[in-house]
Amino acid sequence: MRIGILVAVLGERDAVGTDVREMAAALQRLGHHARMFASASHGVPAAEPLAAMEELLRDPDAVLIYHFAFGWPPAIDFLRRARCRRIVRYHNVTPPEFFAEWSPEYEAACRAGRAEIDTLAALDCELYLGDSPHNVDDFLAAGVPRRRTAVLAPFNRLDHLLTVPGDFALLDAPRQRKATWLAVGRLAPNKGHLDLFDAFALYRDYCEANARLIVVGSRDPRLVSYNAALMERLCVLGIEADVRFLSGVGEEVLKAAYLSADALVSLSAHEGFCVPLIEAMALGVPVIARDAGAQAWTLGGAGLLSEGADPARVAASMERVRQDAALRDAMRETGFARIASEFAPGVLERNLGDLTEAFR
Amino acid sequence: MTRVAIVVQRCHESVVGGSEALAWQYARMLSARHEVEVLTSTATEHVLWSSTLPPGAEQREGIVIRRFPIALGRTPYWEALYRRLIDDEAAIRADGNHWREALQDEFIRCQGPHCPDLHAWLQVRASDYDAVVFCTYLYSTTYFGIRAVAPEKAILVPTLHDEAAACLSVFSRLYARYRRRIWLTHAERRIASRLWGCDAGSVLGMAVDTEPVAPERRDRPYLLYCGRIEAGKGCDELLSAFERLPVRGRTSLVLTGADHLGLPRSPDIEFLGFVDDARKRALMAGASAFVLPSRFESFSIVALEAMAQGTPVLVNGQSEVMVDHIERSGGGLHYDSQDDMVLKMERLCMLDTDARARIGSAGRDYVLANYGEERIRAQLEAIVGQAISAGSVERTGSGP
Repeated sequence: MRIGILVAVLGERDAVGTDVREMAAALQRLGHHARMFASASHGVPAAEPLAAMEELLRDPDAVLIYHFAFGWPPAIDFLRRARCRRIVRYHNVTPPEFFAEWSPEYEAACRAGRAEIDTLAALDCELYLGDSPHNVDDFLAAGVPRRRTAVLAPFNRLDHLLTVPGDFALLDAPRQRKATWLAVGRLAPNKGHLDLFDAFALYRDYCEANARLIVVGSRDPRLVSYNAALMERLCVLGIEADVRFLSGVGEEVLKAAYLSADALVSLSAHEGFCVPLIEAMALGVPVIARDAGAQAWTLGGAGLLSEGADPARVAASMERVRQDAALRDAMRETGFARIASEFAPGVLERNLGDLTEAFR
Repeated sequence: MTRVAIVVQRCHESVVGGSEALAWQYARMLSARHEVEVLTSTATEHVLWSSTLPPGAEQREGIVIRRFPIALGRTPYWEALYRRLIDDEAAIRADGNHWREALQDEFIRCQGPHCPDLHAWLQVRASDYDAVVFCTYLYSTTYFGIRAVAPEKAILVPTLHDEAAACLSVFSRLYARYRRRIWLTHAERRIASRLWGCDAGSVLGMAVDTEPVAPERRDRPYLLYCGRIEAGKGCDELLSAFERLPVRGRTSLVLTGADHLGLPRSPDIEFLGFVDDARKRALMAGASAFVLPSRFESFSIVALEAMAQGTPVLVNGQSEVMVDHIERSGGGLHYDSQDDMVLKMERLCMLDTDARARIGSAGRDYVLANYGEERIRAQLEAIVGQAISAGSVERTGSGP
């Protein structure tokens, strides 16, 4: 079957780019002729230009999978004109409220993106494919019948992460036995870094003065005031020397960060799936997460969930994780089992194969 | 017919390794009454765990061998992790959680052979088997594979040594859930009690070939070593001690197996490479003594084979398992230092015929009493039968 995969911009290693690339590779292995199309492309292999997609759009036997993660009007036009079958692959769009205090541009972009949910729902595509039930809910709320929806967790590179060596410069540091908190994800207002700093400071004051926090994630230069607020909070809390930011790091450093951590802490207030959770689960790292967005579903019981981001609750959770080996074992085993049954690349490929069979 | 799987890190006729030999022996014994499959990697060597065989299934002696590709063999990265493990050994012995669990997992995964497809196979197919035997606690094939199998029908054969890796807490905590275990010796069970805080399970061992053979006649008396020739097996210490042996010149050192050490050229040292079982036993029968310098043994088939041929054995006193064999049998000596090793080698070389026969006979009687084939087969069947029954109860439900 001819399958086109459309995305606004094809990144190399971000969550959407990874899903697109790995999905294309999986479709090829499943015997389909899969091609990627984007307005811009970073990394190898590159996507084809949008103009190359026109012929596929006219083929009623073909399938177009549009990866929707933010507002992009050209996609609406393509889907409207397409005579092929259409799948909307939904990664979620961050609600604009998170950016209201920090960036009018982001707020407007997110508002426009959220508005496209209704537009896409009205196009009556053959399938609305969410990363998680949480994502599917957005389209159900927009009037898409449940039978037109499905859940397929994002393709990932867990196999690669498990086999890549960890970076020793970072791995050797925790041998001093400092308690280590880890956060993974770009620095953005919905990701809860301010709450994280508050909780970490409290933990340092009351539980382990030697604790450190590793924050892996890129800083967005367009979020100037938010970035400044993060630095200011670190200074006010007096923890700037104990927080290490790692930006633009390779997989070796990311791996070492996970292996060095007592727990991954995700206080994000909005997540459509949260890939770092499954990376931690696959590597056997305990997780403490805020019960928001899709995080509870992604974890499936493989972590401690916190209602809200109360610093004392989060700090106490970290201490409990550090002191209670039986709790860690239970979380790790649940995580391993959930990865094996739901999120392993081979499982996702089988699930994708089942979904595409319906289009043959 | 009931189906039994045996999971082991390597399986091929060219493989020289204790736990691999044990796995194959159990597979052959069980194949008389069960449909047996061996689930293993595509490796034949254990230094890099390189993939040398094609993945897929083959049949040997009526047993299906399924080989799964190796995603991770042993790399310099693991060597670096291992150096850190040794550096931290004292701290890890004091506190098994000294390394975070994820780093412990990483050590096990990167040690090789890491075969995710084998784990995925078990994840999907574990219910097809009535019992699953996992050989060797240390490797990823057991550590990550056993999780897919219900504890009732899993049988763990740890082949445990008192070594730094065994002190990692993830092993003891995971294997505490798998109580159906086969220990090869009482000493191994005591090590488990000490390191893992558990000793449930049965002491079984494996069958040893006890058929007496005619001794090989060589130009002069000789000491014998058979197995992997490497520092990890204590062969460097064996060579040093032999250098200092006063009777050297009148006695030679004969070695068989794979030379990973680089044996020195010497008229007194004879390296025969791989020899077949018949010649190995003949060499054993003809040796003044069989020497096993390894500190890490959970059973030692070769030493018991030598004892079965009525040959005195000399073992490393740091190996609790081997000391047990010697003290329970009276079939040889153990040494506690390099000087002691030289002394005891000398003593065994100088034994008169009666004394050698007396020690040799004690060793042979011990092997016959404990490691005869029928005895091992019957006990193994009983243990597997219990697992099959328990797994069956688990599937059908035992209550009203």
